[in-house]
Amino acid sequence: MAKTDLDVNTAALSIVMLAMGCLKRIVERRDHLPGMAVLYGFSGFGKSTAAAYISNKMSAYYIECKSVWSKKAFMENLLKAMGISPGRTVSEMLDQICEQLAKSGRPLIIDEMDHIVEKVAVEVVRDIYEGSKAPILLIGEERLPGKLAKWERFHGRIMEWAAAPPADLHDAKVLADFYCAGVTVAEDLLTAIHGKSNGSVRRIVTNLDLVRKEAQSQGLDTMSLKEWGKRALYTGEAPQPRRFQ
Amino acid sequence: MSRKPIDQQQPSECRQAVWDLIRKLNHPFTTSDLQYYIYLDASSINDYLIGLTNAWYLKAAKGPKRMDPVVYTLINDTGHDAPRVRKDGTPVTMGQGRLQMWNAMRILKTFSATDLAFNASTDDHHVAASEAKTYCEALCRAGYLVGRANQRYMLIPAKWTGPQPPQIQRTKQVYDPNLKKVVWSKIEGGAE
Repeated sequence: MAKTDLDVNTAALSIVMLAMGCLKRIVERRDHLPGMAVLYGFSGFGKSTAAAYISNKMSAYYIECKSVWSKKAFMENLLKAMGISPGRTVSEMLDQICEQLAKSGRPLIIDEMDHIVEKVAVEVVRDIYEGSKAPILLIGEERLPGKLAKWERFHGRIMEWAAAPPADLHDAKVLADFYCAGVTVAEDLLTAIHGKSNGSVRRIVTNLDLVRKEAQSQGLDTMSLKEWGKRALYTGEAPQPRRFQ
Repeated sequence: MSRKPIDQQQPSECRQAVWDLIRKLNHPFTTSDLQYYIYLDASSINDYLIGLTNAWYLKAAKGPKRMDPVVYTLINDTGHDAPRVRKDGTPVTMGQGRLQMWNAMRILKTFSATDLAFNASTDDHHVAASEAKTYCEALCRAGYLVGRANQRYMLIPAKWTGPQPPQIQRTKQVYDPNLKKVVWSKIEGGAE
């Protein structure tokens, strides 16, 4: 069946390679080096894709913070992700988490870190790190490093700050190979899509979907800028104000 | 003896129970020490212990006399999750695709089956788009996912019940190992 032979090459996306390298360096670090890393960038740049990939590849624990979480809620949810029933008190839970991380040797990925930076909950992450020395990757929006700078004791434990790169033309090619399987997207159209998408993996995928559907409805197996013509590409921008004469 | 379907097993009838007990005992033990607490026959327990020994989780020592039982010691405690090993010590890979999809779902939240296949694949284990579609449809029936426009699915946050992926059983039902119960089953000859 042709469907099973799709060209899946998630690992080749530049954001995935960056995140993978980052996590590997903190996992394989020497003992005296700090064991946390930060991955930050604008939304849509593929941070979640990278998180999904690296958590599967390195069998890391993954947790996504919510803005309403307290220290306790953070730990309860982390224990749920580990499959352990939480202890009665907060300190009991902290011990459970640290033990599991230290024994299993699995890294921890904390996504949407921005949400808990403003609160005392950020101290919990430091406690977990100190109690387990597990490699921890923090993921957040573009302004995360600035927010973390306020927490001096935290700052010194970070080995690497990685800025998510905008998707490049090669990334667009990788995505096209998968999302437009069966349709050849010509170089000029791919360049146009890449240009319009402003470095966002999410928008490239949306546009490739449009291309695939259009190609299928027209029965074409190649799509170039000529066939695509003046059809709109998704840019994610708010529409221009309308003018009535 | 062949294994029972998972929804018909007692909680003390699985490898997780064996592993939990080994960690709790915290001293060298023999197969018969375990048998007292575990509702599994000796050969099943033995197979698992041999697998764990071959994968360097346990160390096995034979007593001086010929009839002495093998004494096992835990040498590599990797935490709560029971290691999934075959008898020769190599890791069990069955269910890896489902696990990767289940992990990816929680991160992506809204996705199409194609998205899921792309995001859940690693270079060690590819997830086929058809596989992703089957799994999404099953979880949708069981009420874990809701269908959205454009063949997209959304994971209901409260339905992420834990780290183990729900299983589609051969008897056409969905079993959630986190809740330890059947969450969907096909009703034969029910109302149409």
